[in-house]
Amino acid sequence: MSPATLLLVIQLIQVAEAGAPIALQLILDIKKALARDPNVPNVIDALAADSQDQAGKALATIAAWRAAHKQ
Amino acid sequence: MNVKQILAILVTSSIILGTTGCAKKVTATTPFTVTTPQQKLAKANDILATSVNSAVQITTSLGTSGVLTPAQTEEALNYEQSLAAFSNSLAAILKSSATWQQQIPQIALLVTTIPSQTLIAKYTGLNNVQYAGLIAAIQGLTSAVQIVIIEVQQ
Repeated sequence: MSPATLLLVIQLIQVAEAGAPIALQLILDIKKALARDPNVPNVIDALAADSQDQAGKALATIAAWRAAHKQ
Repeated sequence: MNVKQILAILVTSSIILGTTGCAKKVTATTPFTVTTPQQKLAKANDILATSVNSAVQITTSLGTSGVLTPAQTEEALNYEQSLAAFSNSLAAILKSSATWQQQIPQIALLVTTIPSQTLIAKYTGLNNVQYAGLIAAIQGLTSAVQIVIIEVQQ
């Protein structure tokens, strides 16, 4: 059983034990988790974070160059 | 060609080799394969962001050494800045909690902000060895932009 599946099972148990308002939120969370491959968010987040890091470095270099060559 | 310009070309070459020759590590904890359209777009965007950063390093290096005039440097940096901003925004959309279906129209709108590529024709028209690094970097950017557009269209 993968960690993601285990987490879902734990959440289902909590749903069974909890009252209605909290149960509704947990059901929504579970529905959202089931709708996506558990590995997908990690890959996309990692790639997007790296993209932002690279783009941020590019923008910082441009700003530094302009500051150094301001006429 | 003076010593400063030769040095700039050497620095440029080392940047190109450094950014293209090394395998890029992504901070994912486990090995993964890129299969879904969302993953493919995230990967294409990562290539674009890396290419932009590389191109900016090359441009500023050539600008500082005097191979490029301040006006030429500024022109290239303007183009690269637009692509860096685009890549940053695309990554923010992909990272957001919105569903893929919700992200698609946002991405389609963002793609319309990609600047025209007239700059590439301008520099590739210059058959000068001193611009070789910049031309290579901008051609790399063009390819990266095309990959992103193809992924968006799919």
